[in-house]
Amino acid sequence: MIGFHEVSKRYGEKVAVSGLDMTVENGSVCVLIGPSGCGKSTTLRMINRLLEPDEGMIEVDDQYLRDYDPAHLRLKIGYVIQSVGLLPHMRVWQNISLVPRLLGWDKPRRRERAEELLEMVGLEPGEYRDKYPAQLSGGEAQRVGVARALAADPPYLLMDEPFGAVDPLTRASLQQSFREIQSRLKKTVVLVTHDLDEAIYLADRIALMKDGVLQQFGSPAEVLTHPANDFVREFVGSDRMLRMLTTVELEALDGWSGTDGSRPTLRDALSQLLAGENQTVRVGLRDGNEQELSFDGLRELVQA
Amino acid sequence: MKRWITGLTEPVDILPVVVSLVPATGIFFLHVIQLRPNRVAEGQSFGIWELSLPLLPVVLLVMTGLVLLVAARFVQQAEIPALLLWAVSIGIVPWILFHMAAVELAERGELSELARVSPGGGVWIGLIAALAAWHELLRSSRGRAKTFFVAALLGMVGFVIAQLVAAPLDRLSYLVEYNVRAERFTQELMQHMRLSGSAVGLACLIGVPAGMAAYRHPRFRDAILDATSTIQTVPSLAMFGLLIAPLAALSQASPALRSMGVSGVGATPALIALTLYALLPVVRNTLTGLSVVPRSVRESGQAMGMTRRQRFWMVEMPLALPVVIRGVRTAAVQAVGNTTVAGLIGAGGLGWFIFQGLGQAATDLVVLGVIPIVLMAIAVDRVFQLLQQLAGRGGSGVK
Repeated sequence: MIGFHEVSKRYGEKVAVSGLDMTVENGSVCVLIGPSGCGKSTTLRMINRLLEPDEGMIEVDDQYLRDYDPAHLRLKIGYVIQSVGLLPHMRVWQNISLVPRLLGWDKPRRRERAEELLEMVGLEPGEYRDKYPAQLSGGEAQRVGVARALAADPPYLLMDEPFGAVDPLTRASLQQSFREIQSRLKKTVVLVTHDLDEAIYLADRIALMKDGVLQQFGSPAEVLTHPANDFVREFVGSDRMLRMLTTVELEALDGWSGTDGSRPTLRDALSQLLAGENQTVRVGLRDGNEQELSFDGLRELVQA
Repeated sequence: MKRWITGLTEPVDILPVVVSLVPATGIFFLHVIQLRPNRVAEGQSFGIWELSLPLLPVVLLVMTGLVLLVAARFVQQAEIPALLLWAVSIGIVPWILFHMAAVELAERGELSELARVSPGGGVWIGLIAALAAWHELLRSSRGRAKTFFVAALLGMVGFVIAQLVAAPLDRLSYLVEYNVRAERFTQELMQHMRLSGSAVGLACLIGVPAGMAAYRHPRFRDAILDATSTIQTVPSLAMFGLLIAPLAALSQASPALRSMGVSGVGATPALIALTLYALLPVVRNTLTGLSVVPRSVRESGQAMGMTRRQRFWMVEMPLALPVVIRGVRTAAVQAVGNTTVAGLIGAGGLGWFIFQGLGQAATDLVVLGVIPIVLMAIAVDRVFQLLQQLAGRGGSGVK
């Protein structure tokens, strides 16, 4: 659990974060989002003490941050950043097993762990283990960055625009991989992004910030259907109900051919309805029921 | 204009090689050999026209060169064997002419017990032209072509060495000087390496931490850089002179220092001065190397849970290392050269031969000192270049 209690941070005159009160539950993904300069990155960087708050307290595992040794604290918080920050003089496996090395694991165990993680993030260990970072593409480097953050199996994961610097296709595939990994590992994740679709796709809870102040903290569906104020309403856009469609996953959808591992959503169902000649399309819901979905049925599902 | 020879594997740039033909023609009108009846006597020089040398090799050399020159001008491609023939001849013909001239002088009975010969201006210019041609060949060739060239070069060097140990070229003036002082030569060579090696070692021991300090504490940065670069502006001879008085005083004041061999002249001031000179490149490159480590990499180390110390040794230093080695390389090559001057204040080293030679107007003795210094500087440069490549093998691309 990560708890913020009346946390404020200033840079000189400028207020970066003001009176932040928020709790990130264990095993959930909390996405910090907002316009540039809203304080989302500052909030993230206070969690592993890259920055210190001016006021208020942050607790991790029921212990205040100021009671941790920073280096020691960071060993149990994985960190992924947009520029990845792989160490160019180390091979991929050495980069991944960096935190285990700091924790004093022996070499065979580190190598084994690195290969395990490469597999997990979808890179063939035999091919990638001994490469240098300069030999990787942007997407591959980002996967290695995620593997490195997970190496010592830290309970917490901080991600600062982790998928921001890659092309849209690669980003989609990275997001999907991340979701699969997270559904298995159940880490407590705080992720910063400026991409609303990414937030809706990945988040259990969205924290929407503006000028250092938390505007709304809730599930993607809550934020989309019940914006707390005008700013939130404007931020999620007038097409917010379309975005809602992607938050409802289906078990099955007639005529849907998705890439392996991904599920169709109501958005795909709507697309089928618009494309076909029929008034309905057959879908399988996550609760096991099947139904013939019409436009009216779609509205009910979204508003539910 | 770039003309290529497409060789066995990769193309070789032909033009710079062929241009070396121009100085090579110097062999026609400059002297090939200089003969002196004894060490101090006035020398007598001979050109190819004054000796009954067979002109065939010279003609061959010039013809090959001209053919290649024409090829380079009008044809896009030529064969590697032709280039190899030309390169070998430009390297070896001046030397062969020198050897033949020596043989002829020996036959005329001019090479008495005390007489000595040295290459004339034409041979030297020919050798310099050959050096330029071979440098270009080795630089621009790849793969199997390069293997051929290296093999040919080694063959030529072997050929020259084989001639040096036999008559009449055992009368080569530098060899004569060497034979008289073989023991001294070894001793001064070792002293030269010891002095420059220790100076560079000390400069690393002081300069790398100083560079780190300058990096960590920007307040000291200017002071440290100013101090080390000011030292560089002091002429080396003046530096040795400046050290004599304080060190002599120290030695006077402290018997303990005196018993350690500290005095106003000799190895101590030389070592101090050489170390001071070697400092700037080491300090500056340490600072630069550390400064160019990308922020993202540094911060990712921090966020990974590295302590400051771990970050320094596991991230910053390894990434800075190639640049640091580059600085040590500069310092080492400089030190090999600067150590020469140490001969003036009784510290020994190969400079001793140079200053002795200058004093006695014996050019041969000067050359005996200069050649190993040049070879040593080149060797040191190459060794550090290799180390630099090894240290930077991870690539500099940051992701």
